[in-house]
Amino acid sequence: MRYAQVEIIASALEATTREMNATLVRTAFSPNVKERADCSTALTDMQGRTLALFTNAPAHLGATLRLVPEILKRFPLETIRPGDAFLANDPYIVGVTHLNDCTVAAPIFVEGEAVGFSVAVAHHSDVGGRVPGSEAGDSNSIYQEGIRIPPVQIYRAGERRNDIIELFLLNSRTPHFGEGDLLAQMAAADRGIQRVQELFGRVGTAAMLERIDEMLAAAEARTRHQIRANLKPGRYSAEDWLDEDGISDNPIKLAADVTIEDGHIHIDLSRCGKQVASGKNMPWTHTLSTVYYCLKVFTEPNQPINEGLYRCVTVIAPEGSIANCRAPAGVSSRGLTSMILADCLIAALGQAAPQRALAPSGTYQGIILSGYDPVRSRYFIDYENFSGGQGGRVSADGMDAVQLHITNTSNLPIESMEAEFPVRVERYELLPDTGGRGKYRGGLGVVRDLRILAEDLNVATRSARQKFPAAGMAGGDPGSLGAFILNPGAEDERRLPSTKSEIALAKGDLLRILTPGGGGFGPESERDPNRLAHDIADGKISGGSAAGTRSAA
Amino acid sequence: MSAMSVRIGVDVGGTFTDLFLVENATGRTHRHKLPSTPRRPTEALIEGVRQILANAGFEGGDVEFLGLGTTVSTNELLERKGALTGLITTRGFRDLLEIGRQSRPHVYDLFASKPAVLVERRRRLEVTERIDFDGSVLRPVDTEEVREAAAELVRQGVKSIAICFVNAYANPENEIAAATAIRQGWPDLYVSVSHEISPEFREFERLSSVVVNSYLMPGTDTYLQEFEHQVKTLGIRQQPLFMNSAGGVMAPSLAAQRPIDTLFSGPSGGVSAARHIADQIDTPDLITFDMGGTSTDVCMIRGGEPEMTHNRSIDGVPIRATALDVHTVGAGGSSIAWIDAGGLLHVGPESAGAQPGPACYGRGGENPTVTDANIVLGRLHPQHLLGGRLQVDPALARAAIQDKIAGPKGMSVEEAAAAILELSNHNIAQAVRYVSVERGLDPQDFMLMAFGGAGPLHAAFVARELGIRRVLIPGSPGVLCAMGVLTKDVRVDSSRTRILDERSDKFLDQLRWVVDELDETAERSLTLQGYKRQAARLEYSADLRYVGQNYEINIRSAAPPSDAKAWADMRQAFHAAHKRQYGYASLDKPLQMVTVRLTAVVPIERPDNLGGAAGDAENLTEQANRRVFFAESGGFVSTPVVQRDALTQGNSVAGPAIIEQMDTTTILPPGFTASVDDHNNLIITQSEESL
Repeated sequence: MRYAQVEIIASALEATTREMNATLVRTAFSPNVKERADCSTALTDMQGRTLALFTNAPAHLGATLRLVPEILKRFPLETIRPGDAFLANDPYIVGVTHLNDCTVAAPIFVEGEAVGFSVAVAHHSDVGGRVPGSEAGDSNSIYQEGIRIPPVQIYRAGERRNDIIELFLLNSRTPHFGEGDLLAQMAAADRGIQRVQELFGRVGTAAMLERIDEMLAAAEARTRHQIRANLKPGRYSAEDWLDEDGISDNPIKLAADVTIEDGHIHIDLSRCGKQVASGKNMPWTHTLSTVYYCLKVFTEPNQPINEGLYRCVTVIAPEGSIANCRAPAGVSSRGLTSMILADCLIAALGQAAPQRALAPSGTYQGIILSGYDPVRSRYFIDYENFSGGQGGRVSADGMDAVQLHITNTSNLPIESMEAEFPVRVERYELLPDTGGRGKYRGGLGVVRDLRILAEDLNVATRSARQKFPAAGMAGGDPGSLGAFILNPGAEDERRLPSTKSEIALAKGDLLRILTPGGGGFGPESERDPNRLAHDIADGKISGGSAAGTRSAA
Repeated sequence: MSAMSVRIGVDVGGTFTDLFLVENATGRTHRHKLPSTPRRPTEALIEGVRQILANAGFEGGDVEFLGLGTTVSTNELLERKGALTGLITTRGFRDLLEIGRQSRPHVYDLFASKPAVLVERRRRLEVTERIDFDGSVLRPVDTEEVREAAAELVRQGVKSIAICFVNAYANPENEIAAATAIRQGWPDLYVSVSHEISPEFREFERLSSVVVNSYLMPGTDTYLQEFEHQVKTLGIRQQPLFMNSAGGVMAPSLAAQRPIDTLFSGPSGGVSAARHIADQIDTPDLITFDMGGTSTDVCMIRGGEPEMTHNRSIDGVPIRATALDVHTVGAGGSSIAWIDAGGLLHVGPESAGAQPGPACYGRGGENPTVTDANIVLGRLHPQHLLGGRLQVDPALARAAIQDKIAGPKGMSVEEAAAAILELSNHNIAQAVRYVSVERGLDPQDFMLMAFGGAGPLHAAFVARELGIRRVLIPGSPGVLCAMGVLTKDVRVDSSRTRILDERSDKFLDQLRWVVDELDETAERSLTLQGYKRQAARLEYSADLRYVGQNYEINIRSAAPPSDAKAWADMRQAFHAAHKRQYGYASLDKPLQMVTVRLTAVVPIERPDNLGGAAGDAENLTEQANRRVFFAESGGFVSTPVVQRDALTQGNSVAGPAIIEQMDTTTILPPGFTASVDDHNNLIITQSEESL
């Protein structure tokens, strides 16, 4: 390696995080990591700079921002040894985004000296707290969301600290998943250590440290160039609303004021609402993850994630706001809040980069079904998010029924669901007329009808865009609203709350989930008549003129 | 095998069609290469067969075996040129084809769109029917409603209909009734039914597969009929056999019904050849490294058997069919080198393809590629490519590298070319490593087998990067895929999902019922192709999991799993495999049977040694030298150029050296040694001190 050293180091570090991720996903136990890949892997240096990070879950893009200094504050450098490993999950300390995201970090030693950390983060299925799965929009503080863990040592010089691990697992409703996932995280971290040691061995420590600086500088230059090339300098603003805070009916404002400078983006979130008394707050690093996601969308989707990218954007949000909450505010359901924040940031950035503009989207609608299944004689939890429609794009219709922004998880196959849980899916269809009409229409939402086949089940709901639709952009119409409806068309039909835990369901009930459509882009008068005819022939929109959004029924 | 007979294997590539002929009596082999005719897929094929027969001095009547790959269905799918197709499905579920698994195609590229759907919404009709998860019929299908739906689709002009009902894997009764109604009412329509194509659970993947099959049936059938007719005009009496995705061959009668099984047959010739060679040289673990112009195919062969998969996708469309687990990396000779806005060099994933190709081809390509770097560094000879048929211009290669890389980076052209190769070899090695790690394997435990036009050029460097100690280059690396066709057996794969709990009293009985059903399915497929069930070797496997898990591990078994002893062995094997893969086993946990699979193999007789004759050692002395750049030597060094044909068993060559032959160039960097084994393979090893 003589002629392309910095390139090979950059490529090797990125490939290492991919390899760590493959190791983690392959050896994990819980479906959440194994099937949904809700995890991330990263390498940092001792200053805490992120050298490479790999994830399929954009919520993890800032997973390593605070980690290293917080470990070193508690475990001074001179006490750290090869074979150590640390565990942490508290979003107010290490900055992973909610308590389910548990971070394992192991120091990398080269010739007796620590050169960085190898990090694996996984969403654990349950870390205790008030509700199964630990996440609930209506939890009133982080204390209801599970066990809070500052950086603690789970391995000391290669020896497992059983006391700490037992404490961690004892707080989980799913300790069998917890232990398997933790070991998988260790395996991933070990893989990272091995590869980085090999790389240092080939290049030499001094040269390696220089090349890392060059690599980060190059990534920064690349991003700054992309900002200059794609985003017009100026100040741009957008606002949007989260329906309610999970406890009261009060809506929460999300607002972004974006300033594009020469090769730099400054984002001011000061106009966002105050933090709320539920789990819908965003801890600081989750806000940053959302920002980094949007930055990648507007610069280069395949850009590597490292400190160089982070340097190109500054963010401010006052402490105590929904975008930078103060302990002990709840954060477990920050996902839906950040979906709206992402729409808002994209709307503002789209003004600076009209060639990449995208209308707001229909967010997913989530349910957690639980209870006793008499057929299979066991307690079950079925956790599902159903996607809405993407906002219309400047050059294409929004995609129908896709996951957006901060999440990209799959649905559970209907045949798996019916074989495992006491429910039957009676309908899973695109909902005509739910995408906002426009030159490029918003993506359609879906309807999913679930028949309940056992007595005394519970459903927990969480959602956004049941009150405030995805707005149209540049003259497009808004998308439809989402809704949860029990027994539609029957005498006892009723609409369920948009965010609530433990709603009782009876055998024979029909639970209907309607997901919201995306906003339209541009006036419908400019729509290609062939595309309109095509949509009408396919029954995706009804004929005639734009009839406004479909009511949620 | 009759004495005067020959066997022919054909590999149809995007650019060239390769043929390989072996004489049964003498074992003598012949190779032939001609340009492909993608617009008229049968033309180059038929012409090639005619020519190789003439070259070898045989006639059509002497052909005992004609095996070939076909990319007709694959191209039809990629280009969305299949038949107008309709779908009939369970009420409430017609949009499943579009909703899929609800994930977006690219996490950060919000302008990427999902692949165009094969059946538009207006041609997706619903009927009232429902099967429960356990197979019980909640509502029988109304065949009158099915006929109305079919009539409507016919009015819309469809040629083909797919039927897929929810939970049909557990009980196909309603699907059978619907299919029967349509087949009786419209005998000319092509019909495929989900439980026939893929009787496994997880509805979206099954639906997608049956729709793809329907979409491809009419075109495939027409093509096969035309091809069979033309084969007969050559005087060939044997039916031609087509490669399938699983590494076997199948008769046209089955291929016409299951075009889905041919979709991944492209790289399967090379893998079959690799497996054959692995067996000959008694090296059961190897990684195939098939590098061409635009991409590199990698497959792991473990214990003599290639890794298989049951879930793949083409262009974002899920396909559930048994296939060799070949992983394609977007790196090849035409991969473009470029510098990003931050000043860092990258190689790929964009490719200059065959048109315009590398800059040195002089077809208007201005971007420097991996091939251009190889030319600049003397690794490739500008006049010797394809036996002199491809002439390239080194000045164009230098100019492209100077303009796009060396100038901006402030390096010399040679340094820039060395950087391109260093980075691209590194990236390919990383990709191979990733493929291994994903499967829980370590590449160091494998031998690397390199072929394809560019494989031998890069293999030693890639192996060194991976810590692999031995590299094998077969005798004819450029026509290996065509040769591989001759190593294939007739193979039929069947599967069926039936979720069974081992704690149930009826477990083995229910399992026996599934096994019997699979046997019947396999027998039907064999009969359709003209083979007898008794001639087949049966291999079983099952996807097993612990109760409560949602992912399975495939466990093989020689005996039917319903046999009590076989089941006990499979349980043990499952625990062991789980431990190997996930680090633990739960011996006290009950198991679930999810999917049972049956592979029926009818062996095809073939000569042993297909590696070709070794060359004439006398020529070894006639070697030239040329100046080749090696980073290990600090620059250009005078390097011996050896003709591959001149090397014979036991010869060895020490690096640095270049070994040239018509279809490829092998690079032997300093510190490596190559020798020829008993089967005319080149074995490259790295000397210990250079590791």
